[in-house]
Amino acid sequence: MKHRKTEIRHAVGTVRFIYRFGKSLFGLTLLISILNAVAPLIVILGNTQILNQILSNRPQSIIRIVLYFYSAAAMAYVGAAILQRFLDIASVRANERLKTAIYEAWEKVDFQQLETQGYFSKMMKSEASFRYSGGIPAFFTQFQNFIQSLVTIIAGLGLIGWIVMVGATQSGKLAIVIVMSLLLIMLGEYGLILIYQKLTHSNIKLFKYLMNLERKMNYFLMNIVNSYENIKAIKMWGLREPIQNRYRTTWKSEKSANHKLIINDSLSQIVTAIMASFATLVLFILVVFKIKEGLLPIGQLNTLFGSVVQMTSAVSVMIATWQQFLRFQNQMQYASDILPPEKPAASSGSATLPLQTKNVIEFVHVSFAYADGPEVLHDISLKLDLQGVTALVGVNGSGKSTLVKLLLGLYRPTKGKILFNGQDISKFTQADYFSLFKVVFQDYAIFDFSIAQNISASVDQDQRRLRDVMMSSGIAKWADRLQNQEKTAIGTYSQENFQPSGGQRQQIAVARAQYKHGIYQILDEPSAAMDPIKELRLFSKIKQVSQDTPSLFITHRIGAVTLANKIILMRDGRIDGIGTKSSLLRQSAYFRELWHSQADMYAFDAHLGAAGE
Amino acid sequence: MSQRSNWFYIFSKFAAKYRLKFVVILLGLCLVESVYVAGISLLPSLAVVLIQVKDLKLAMVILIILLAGVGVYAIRIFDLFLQQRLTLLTFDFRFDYVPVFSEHIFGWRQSLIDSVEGKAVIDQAYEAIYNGQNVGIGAIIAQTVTLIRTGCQIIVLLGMMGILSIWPAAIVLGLNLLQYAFQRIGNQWYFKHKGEQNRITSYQSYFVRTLMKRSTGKDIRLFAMFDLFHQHFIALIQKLVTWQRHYSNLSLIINLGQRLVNVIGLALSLLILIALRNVSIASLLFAISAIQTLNLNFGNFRDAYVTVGKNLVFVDNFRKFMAFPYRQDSGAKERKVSGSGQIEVQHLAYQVNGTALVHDINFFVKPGEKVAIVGENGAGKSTLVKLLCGLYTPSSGSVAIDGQDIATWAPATMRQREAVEFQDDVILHFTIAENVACKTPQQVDTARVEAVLDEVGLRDFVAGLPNGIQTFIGNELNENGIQLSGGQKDKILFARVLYRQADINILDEPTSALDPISEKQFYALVDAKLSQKTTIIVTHRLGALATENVKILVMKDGTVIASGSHGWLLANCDYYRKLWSAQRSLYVGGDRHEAS
Repeated sequence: MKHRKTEIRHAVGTVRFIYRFGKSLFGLTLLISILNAVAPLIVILGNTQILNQILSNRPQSIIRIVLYFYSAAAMAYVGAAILQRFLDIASVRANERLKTAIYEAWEKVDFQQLETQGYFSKMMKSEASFRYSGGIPAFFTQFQNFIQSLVTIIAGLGLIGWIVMVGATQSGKLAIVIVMSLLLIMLGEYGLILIYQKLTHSNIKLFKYLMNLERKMNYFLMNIVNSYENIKAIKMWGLREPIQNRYRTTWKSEKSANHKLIINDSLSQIVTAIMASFATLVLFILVVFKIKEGLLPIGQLNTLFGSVVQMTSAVSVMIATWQQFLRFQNQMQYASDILPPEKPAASSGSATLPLQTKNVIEFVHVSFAYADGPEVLHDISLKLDLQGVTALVGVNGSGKSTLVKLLLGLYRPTKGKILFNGQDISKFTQADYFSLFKVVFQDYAIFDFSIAQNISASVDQDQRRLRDVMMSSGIAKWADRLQNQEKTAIGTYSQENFQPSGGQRQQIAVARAQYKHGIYQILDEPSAAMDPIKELRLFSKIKQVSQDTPSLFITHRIGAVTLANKIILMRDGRIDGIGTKSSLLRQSAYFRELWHSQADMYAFDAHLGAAGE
Repeated sequence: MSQRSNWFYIFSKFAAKYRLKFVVILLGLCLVESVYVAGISLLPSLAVVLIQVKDLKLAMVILIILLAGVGVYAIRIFDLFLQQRLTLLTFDFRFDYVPVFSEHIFGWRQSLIDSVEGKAVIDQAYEAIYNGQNVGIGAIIAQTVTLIRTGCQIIVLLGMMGILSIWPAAIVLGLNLLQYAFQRIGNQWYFKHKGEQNRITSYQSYFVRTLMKRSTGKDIRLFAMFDLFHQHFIALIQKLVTWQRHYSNLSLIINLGQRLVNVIGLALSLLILIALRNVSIASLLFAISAIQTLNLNFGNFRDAYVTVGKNLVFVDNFRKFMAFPYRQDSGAKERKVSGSGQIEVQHLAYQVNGTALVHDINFFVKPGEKVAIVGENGAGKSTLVKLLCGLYTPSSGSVAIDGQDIATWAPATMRQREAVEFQDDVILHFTIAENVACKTPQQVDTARVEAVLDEVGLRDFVAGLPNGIQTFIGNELNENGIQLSGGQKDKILFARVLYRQADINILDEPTSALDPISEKQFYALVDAKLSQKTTIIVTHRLGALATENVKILVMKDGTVIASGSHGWLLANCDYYRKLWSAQRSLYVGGDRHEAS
């Protein structure tokens, strides 16, 4: 009983969740179910009437009866069909809105949380479970089946009830027989329901296990088999065998789990068939008894049989639907977990940005550790004037990227605080604070929509600004030659099927940073994939525009620090030194080591002097 | 490819796989269901007949009915059991293709994988297998069987009705054919327009994949791209809803037609039966339930037909996929064949769709020589690497290793002779040992794995792990998997190269993500560990190559414009000198440096 209560509580929760997205659908489904359930019963009643008319030798009214009953049934069906059309469209719309809500939840979640493994598995579960569940259309199909079955059962019970009870008052013997039959039915059904419940529980357990296996199989499919870039390495390293080895192991487990599930489903069906046939036989015999005793006209056999057939099929549909619904709930749980609550929490920041002509970002004893990880930044205190060119250097793992992400407000310090012109940045809204920066990440993303939208990061563009940016970044040179110019969509999802090269993508990423209004530019390893000539051009350009747009760049090209006004040297999660190139070369042995590890290779070069530059 | 030949293709594959088992189950199902359907329709008539017999005692009547009922329902349960066996078969049929799918892809020609067509075929063939039991090749078989089963039931019922009187049977049949005609119109619309819906959902999946690649989250937040994405989502929703509206409007008309025809048919058949004067109540009862069951079966038959049709849409790409030639690696014992590592490239060219990616490439690499390939992006360096390791077949010219043209080599041979580390190589979520040795756990030489891990400087790290080299990396397959830092990943990838002990080692941009100190250590490691082996490095970092014993190939616009030592190139190649001085200027010469 407690089980039942929790089941019902969960069911209500799921229904409320669906209600958020498809209010009108419930009423529609209700109507359709009632109409669909009632129509066949009308036909059955009509047929019974006809039979009885024939038995009592009154054939003249038959055509009239046929007309009435069958037209009524036809109208019910027509009504249901028309409403179904509205339901189908509305449920697709509601489903897509729910999907979009899920995607937008992923977009808006705090970035630090997004990067955690926990959130990633939540994301995958929400997407995969939602897809498997069939979404809102599947819910309303189940709801429709359920209500239809319920109405059928109630109406059928009404009809049968009448048939069963007829004559009960006439003789004590009959009343006893009726009561005994009903008791017999209830006992039998109860026993079978217990078996059925057991099956349902193991069904759900199996299903959860299966979903877990599905996730592993998904890893193989998405990250290995379907990730085309990896296949050349798989070939060249002979990884086919180890991959297939592990793949087959998981695959075998999933295969046997599926077999168990199929057998479980089949057993459930068998149990419901037994339940149905048991009830039918008992009722059948009871009715035959009554007919033999003269209490019922023979025609009622049709009503009995017709209703019983409808009812038993309704019962098995209802039970199967409940099982499907329980599974559906499980899957929807992941989807609803990932959505933000309906009433958003009061936004933390509401202060306005205190912009000045000279702006300063200050780290005050900032430490940072990833969720359940060790501390990676220790007690950083740094005053960063947002002017000129600043270089951030250090070996891998020294904390450069983490520092930048804290600077940008993508991460929040575990200890200490970050100040913008003296105010704690947690007081500002994220949107406001982000608007300060123009960033080109090392793993920048170019999306499959138009070049113009990729640059402006907005639906519409300021045409003049867009043009300026395209010209100065060199994009106009190749984009103007395209048929739709900057409105050309990138990627295979549009007719144009335009795939920009690596270099062109980088230009778009840089243009995006240029187009954005911001006071500070941040570049993460901007020259990693560039040849020496392009690299030099890039750093020179950064220096050139640094008057208007102060910038910070992270780089391994230690030589690039020559162009920087200020260098921040990081080591093991701490700031090891700040200064210009010459001051650091003087003061820091570590910096000297970094410098010489690259510079030495270029130092001894008599040839160059002779050949001239 | 016609739908009929697609259907035949799938069905024959299924029949070939299961032969006798399938035939037995199918026949069993048809038999059992025909008996059931006849029985269940006759049961009320039996009751009427028994009741009307004057001398039969009540107890007898009840007993006979009980026996008949139990018999019929027992058959039903046996029917459900047979259906279960069949479902297991159809599931296995589809699911067994899953590892086959990957087996094929791993054996495809690289040029096919790199092409847009290849990717599209993979994406769509995957739909035929991976989308569960209700979609794809499994559904085709399951619904075909449903077709056969309901067909049997229909024939049996029609036959029994025909015995009664031919007209009702004929009416039911005729009207159901009419309903089928309606259905066909709907199906044809669906086939014509399914592609359109696929394109929309395909674009939607792109957004899902993009958002799941969480690194995109930085750009989305920092550039406030929510509204832009929102607009695209809304546009997609509108397109999908519009498609659905058209489909639902059409379905409404078809549904209305079908239902009206259904009801009219029921009424007509009943009236005709009644018009036949000498029909008994029992027969009438039978006729009513038979007609109801017939209509149900016809409905199922039509639905099954429609579903088969809808799923045959996937088979085109499935067949294309299976038909693409793929190399079956015997994977058998790899006899260790060694050579000296001498490479000769002559008149090498490669073109795609009329564009030459590389042309006129000639060079010679001595055994054990160190070679660097430099040049700007798009100069053809990666293409050259793929040609050198046999992933691409040249359009003209040849690559010969130790005098043998590699076009004749089996992949297994190539793997022994060459180790190639690509820029985007990934670590798999398997054990460290598997990632280094690239072999199944049983075939891993654990001593060698530990030795190379020591050589790359990971010995202490691995010793500190609870399971040593059997520790899982990443947590997709094992919850206790560890996370590696970027530097550790690079070291493991290099350990892979060392483990292989190949004569020829090719490294594509191995240090682009490394900091100066790690980069210096890396080159020292390469010098130490690969000193006797031919090593080719593609790189932008010219500094490390400025030694006399490295032969540098300078690539531009798809060909090698110069080759020689650093000193010789500085004196004789303008472009190389430009590259060198651009990079050098950052380190030497104070603050005077403008782009030349």
